[in-house]
Amino acid sequence: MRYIVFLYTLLCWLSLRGQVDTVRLDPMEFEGFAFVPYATGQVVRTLSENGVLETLDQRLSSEGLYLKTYGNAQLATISFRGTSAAHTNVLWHGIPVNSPTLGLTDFSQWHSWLIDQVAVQAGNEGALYGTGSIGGTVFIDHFNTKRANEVMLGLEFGSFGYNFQGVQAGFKKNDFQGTTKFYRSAIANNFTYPLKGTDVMQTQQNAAVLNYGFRQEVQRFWQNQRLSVDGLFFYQHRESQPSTTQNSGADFIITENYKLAFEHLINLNQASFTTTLGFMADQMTYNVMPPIATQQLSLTSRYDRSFSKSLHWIAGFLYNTSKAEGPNFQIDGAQRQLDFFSIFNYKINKVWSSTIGFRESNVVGKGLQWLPSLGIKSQWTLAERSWGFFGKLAKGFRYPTLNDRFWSPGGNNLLLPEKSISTDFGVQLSQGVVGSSLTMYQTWSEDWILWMPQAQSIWQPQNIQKVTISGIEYSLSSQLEITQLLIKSEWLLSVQKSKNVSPYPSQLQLGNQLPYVPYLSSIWANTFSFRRYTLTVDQSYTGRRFTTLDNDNKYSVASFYLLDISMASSLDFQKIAFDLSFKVGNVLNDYYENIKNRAMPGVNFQFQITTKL
Amino acid sequence: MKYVHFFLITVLGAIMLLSACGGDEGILSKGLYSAGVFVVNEGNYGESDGSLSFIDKQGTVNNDIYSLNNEGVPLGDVVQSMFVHESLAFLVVNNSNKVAVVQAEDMQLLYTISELSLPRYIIIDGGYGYISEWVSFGEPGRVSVVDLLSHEIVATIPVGYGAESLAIRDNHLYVSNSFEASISVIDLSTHLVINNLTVGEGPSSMLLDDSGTLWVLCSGGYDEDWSPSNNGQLVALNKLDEPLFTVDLGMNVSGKIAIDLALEVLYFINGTTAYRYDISTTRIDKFIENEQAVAFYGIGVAKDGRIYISDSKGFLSAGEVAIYDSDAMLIETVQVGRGPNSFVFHN
Repeated sequence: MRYIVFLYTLLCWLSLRGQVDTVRLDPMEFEGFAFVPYATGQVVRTLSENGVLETLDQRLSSEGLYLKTYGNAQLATISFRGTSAAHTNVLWHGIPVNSPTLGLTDFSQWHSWLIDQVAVQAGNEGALYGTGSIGGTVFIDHFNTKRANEVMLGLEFGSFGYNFQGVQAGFKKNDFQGTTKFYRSAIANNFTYPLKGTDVMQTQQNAAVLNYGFRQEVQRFWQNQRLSVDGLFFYQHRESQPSTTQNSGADFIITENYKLAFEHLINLNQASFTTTLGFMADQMTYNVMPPIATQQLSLTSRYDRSFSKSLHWIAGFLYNTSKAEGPNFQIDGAQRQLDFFSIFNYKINKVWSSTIGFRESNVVGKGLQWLPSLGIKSQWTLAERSWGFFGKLAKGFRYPTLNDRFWSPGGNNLLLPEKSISTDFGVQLSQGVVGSSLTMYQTWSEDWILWMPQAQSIWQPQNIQKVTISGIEYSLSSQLEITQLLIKSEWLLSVQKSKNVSPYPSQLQLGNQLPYVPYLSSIWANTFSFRRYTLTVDQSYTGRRFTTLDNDNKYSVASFYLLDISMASSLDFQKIAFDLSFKVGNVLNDYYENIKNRAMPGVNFQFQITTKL
Repeated sequence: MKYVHFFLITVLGAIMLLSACGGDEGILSKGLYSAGVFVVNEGNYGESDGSLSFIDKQGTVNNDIYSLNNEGVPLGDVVQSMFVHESLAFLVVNNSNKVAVVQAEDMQLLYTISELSLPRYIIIDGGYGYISEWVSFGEPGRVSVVDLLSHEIVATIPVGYGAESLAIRDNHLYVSNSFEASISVIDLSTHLVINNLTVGEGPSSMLLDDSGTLWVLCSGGYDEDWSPSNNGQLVALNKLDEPLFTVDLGMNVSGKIAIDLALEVLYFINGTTAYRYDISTTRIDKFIENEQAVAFYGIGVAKDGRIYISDSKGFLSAGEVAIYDSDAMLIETVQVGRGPNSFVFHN
């Protein structure tokens, strides 16, 4: 740690020395570390700014990612490309924020109202983003957002007692800017559903959820520097939605999440130097049990340098320490990690560019991980047509979680990191108003961690599973304008085979699909805009998912198709603009499940109104 | 060109819509369950896929027989145990907080006992059902008394933490408190706890032998680091509730125990090994070892002397039941439901 502080001080001093001849910049014009750096060889999707009244899982599910939710407004995780939720890395201001105990993020607790921007990058990028980026990476927020002096109000009412109230205020004055955001949402979640196999309608019990959250961001600019602070607080009181066969219960979970990020940016001539310090504290209380508390401290510095128009370089380090305390951590679970990374982006000519990345990661007691990655892409552009290729080869890894290592009983401190090698290849084509891309990928993974029953009647995690994943992602989009009618359409298709290649629990399961990985999922989104009116028609299909490795249909979750329709309009009233939206979810009122025997609601309605003052 | 692509998107979307309408649920045949072996498959926690299997005299396996005979309704989440009394079968569904009462011969649901909290086992005596309940991991357990005529809970008796197995001897109900090292003794006339017996750590299954001795299998405890203490025990209690003797097993064991038809040999399991304890010689033998198994999860001895051992397969797939003769020779292996944990030998 002392070396890191020394290195940081030295680099700051060198950077400041180098700025003697630099010209004072407009404080609002420079940008820090790119939101999604060097995605060569990958498709990156930045989520639209629509949906500010949605939770993050709702927004991400519309991007073709596989959403696993334990009921309506319940625990929700996402996964990419046939992997599990633990193989999705989540970065907030560039800091990893997956729960150190569970190794995943519950996106139902992140509300879009508090967030400025979200992007997703599918694919194995351990070299760029570190542990857990085997399936893909979700990027939440950055400090490059420009603020304005405005107040925004949001209200939403919907089925099953849903209500949302949010307020946010941005400010910008001289060398200061910032934003303050607050929201509260609640849902009784007393929807009805047909009891499986019968016509009997059952009302969901014990599934109410209360959320509120607060965010305060402040930024100060001077000369070529920027200091930013962002604080987030989430609270959730969630009754645990029981299964359809139970439909009663009193279990609940209370979670409190505190997140704080400080970032210092020095913008130099052809370079920048960014340091981010993050602190996260979470507490989860299940019923009347003593809480489980986790704390995480991250420090990362990145030096970003353009040597020429063709050659760009990022180098830096990430230091992360996390610990957990609670009734099942008799020995305080703690883990320290130090990564160094270096990434070169080289534009070979007008058509070809490439990225080479290296990361050396070390968790105390777990040895070194050496992670190279190579990405390449080409782009040819003619008058109304462009096409290109992209490809990537990368190693990835995931460290065991604190639960895996220290949970009592069963935690296994001898676990090794999960490892993977992935390759992607894709083509992109656009012709006039139509664009499409096709990506094929293959991943070879080993040492995946499974909790297994042991001789002493306890469960213990082991590095036991080998998995190979192959798949295709296809997207097709078009934009058509007929007089004043604008039609946008996008179709996303994902086909994946996530194959167990370890003879466990027996040879019979060799080659079978992993639980909760659909072979096929697809989304078709259409928007029709006419003057101030927008009609959105979204359809999605999720294929059958097995819940056991023997792929027995009896233990599978049926495929489902969803149709959502919404109508939005903007309205001026006494010089105040209002955005109104009315949405009908699950229009066909189909019964479906994300998790076996956890009911999801039928047809439902939401009315939204937002306004800026 | 642009119209061609738009048309293409529309067609693909329609295909997607149509493909969502298919269904391929399997169809099982119905049957009667008058003579054979019920296998209790607890299912994977949280997924409500607990089920019952039935192996008839011919060795034919019928899986998921509860749903099959009750309009496809799943049985529930973590089917912990089954108790057959006269023509009725009581299915204790732990994480669904209920006991489903069915006709044993056709599995038709008659009624459900609810308002329970993590029920584990049930035993019947004198027109009452006695149901052990954990209540929660942080609160003392209890026994709820159900009037089998009215189906109402008429009394609740507080016992120790982790109320687990039940046994009746001489109008006394014995409740093993599995989170402790004790047995609560309840007078069935008064429904009051009259004694609290100290045994080994983690008492679970209980059995009565030929002489009326109550055998308690204690799984063993864990040290401060939750490492197994390897102090599992077999404790024999005489009719005065005094310990006759204790057998130290030198390991932690599963809480499941079985006894042979002559009530002379006890069987218990640990990992992928089954052990045999001969009551008359006080000798313990390794009886069956199966390195192909993932983990033994239940054991039972049929009236024909065959020994049934279930393998949970780590809950990653459907479970297996291996059937052995009394000389530990494998007769056959059959596939059952997910997480098979116990057997009920019916008629």
